[in-house]
Amino acid sequence: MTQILEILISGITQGAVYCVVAVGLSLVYGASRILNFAHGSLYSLGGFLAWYLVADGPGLPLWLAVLLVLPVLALTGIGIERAIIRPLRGSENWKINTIMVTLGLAFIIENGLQLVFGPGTRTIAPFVEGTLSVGGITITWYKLSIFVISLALVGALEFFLSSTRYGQAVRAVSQDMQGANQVGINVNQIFGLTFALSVVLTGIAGILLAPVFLVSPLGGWGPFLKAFVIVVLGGLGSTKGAFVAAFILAVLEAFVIFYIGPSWAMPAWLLMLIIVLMIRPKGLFGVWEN
Amino acid sequence: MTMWSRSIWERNTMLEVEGINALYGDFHVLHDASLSVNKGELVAVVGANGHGKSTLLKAICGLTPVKSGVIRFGGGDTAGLKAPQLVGQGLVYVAEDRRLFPDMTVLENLLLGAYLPAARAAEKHNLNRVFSLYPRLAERRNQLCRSLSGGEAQMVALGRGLMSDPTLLAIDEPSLGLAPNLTETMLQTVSQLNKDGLTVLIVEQSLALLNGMIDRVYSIEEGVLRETDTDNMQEVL
Repeated sequence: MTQILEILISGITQGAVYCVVAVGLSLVYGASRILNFAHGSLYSLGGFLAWYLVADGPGLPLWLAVLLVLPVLALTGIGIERAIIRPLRGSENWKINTIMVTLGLAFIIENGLQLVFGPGTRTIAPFVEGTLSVGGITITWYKLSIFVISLALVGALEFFLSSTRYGQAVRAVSQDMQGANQVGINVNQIFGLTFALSVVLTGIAGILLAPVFLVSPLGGWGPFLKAFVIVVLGGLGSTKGAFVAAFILAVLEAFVIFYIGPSWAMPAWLLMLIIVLMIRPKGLFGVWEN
Repeated sequence: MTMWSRSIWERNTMLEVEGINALYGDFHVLHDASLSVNKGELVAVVGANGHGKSTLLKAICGLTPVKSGVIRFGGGDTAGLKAPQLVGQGLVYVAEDRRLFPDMTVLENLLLGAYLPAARAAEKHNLNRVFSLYPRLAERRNQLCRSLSGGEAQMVALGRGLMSDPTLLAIDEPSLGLAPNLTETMLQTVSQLNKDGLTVLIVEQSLALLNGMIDRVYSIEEGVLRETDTDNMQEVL
């Protein structure tokens, strides 16, 4: 019983971080219908920038490094939208074109990271050490902390989307772009905003997971693939769907890893995805349309 | 004499469209279309489907690009401006297909009408106005728009337009998809808004629906716009 509970807790804490990566991917898709294949590379970028500031370069405390990395990530998001997405929008086959272009961007970021930092893996020391034991269940303080931070981030995003003027505008754009235009919403500005938020979220996840999963130039593909499965299962474009799906899949993963083995985690996810899509082709809460 | 009449004319003209051309893809939809709307008027553009009515209204409201020609709204040249800028100036479009935000509530939809700062200043006043116009929307304020009936959705569409605090409301075929009795109620509301001082440019398929409420009418045929007197139109259609 304790063991099952421990696996469950491990899954739930992991789910919260997956959620941060997936929600960012889903946010951009929801608003602009663009699937950003560079999302994982931007996750790595966040990890590398923080690692450089903390462990390699000036040796800053982690909180200060995060504070410095945040605006860089936000500007990166705005820059990507402005420089490579916007010119393609409205062109023929723009959905496929933007996928190809963001895939290209992923390669550029990865190779850029390899060029600057070298191909090896890096790590950032966890900001808290030690473990917490309650009733026979043990969890590291670090896992608990990133769980709380991740939930806070996702909660803040939900609050932003539901209760602020710009958040309402993001939802409006994702539900009806022309309608948004009609009420005076500057749609391009909202696309820029969603890209900024999305890159910030995935970059922070990259920093939070650096002590657990390490940072490497190609290390973003794993989280991207996971985020992608989560987002499709939850329903493309639905942040609520991404939230629910992240926890379902993370708990599933924890049990599969414990009882069958780590290499079965992804097959189990894909099996789950196929089953859900057979029953609900749009995913759990999808806005996808043809 | 000329100067004098010109200044009078400028004061009363709210919208002036001169020889605009617009394309839909490669298809030339509007041919040198010209029209004007004076302050306080209710002007109609009537024509069959596919003759460019919607494109005309969308071009005026900055929702579809204009290839050539001049559009002046409130005195300034607005031909290159996009919808968000025009909404800020008081030129507001109500779409034939409603264009509501389906997964948001009635209230959220209405409040988004007052998204821009100018309209937000009048948000409370306009919301009260919309709710007194349509008490049913007040009752259903927390209902998602995807669950509304066609008539209610049209109420929200018009209400959201009013929330943008328009000086000119451009309404695209409000009868589309509505039962005849609902269409009549909708058009009576528009007429009442006009009598209360709102300038309206409306597009419809049938002049009969607009009987007695409009000041002037244009007919549109294959993208060519002509001002007609209402009696002649009756025969044309």
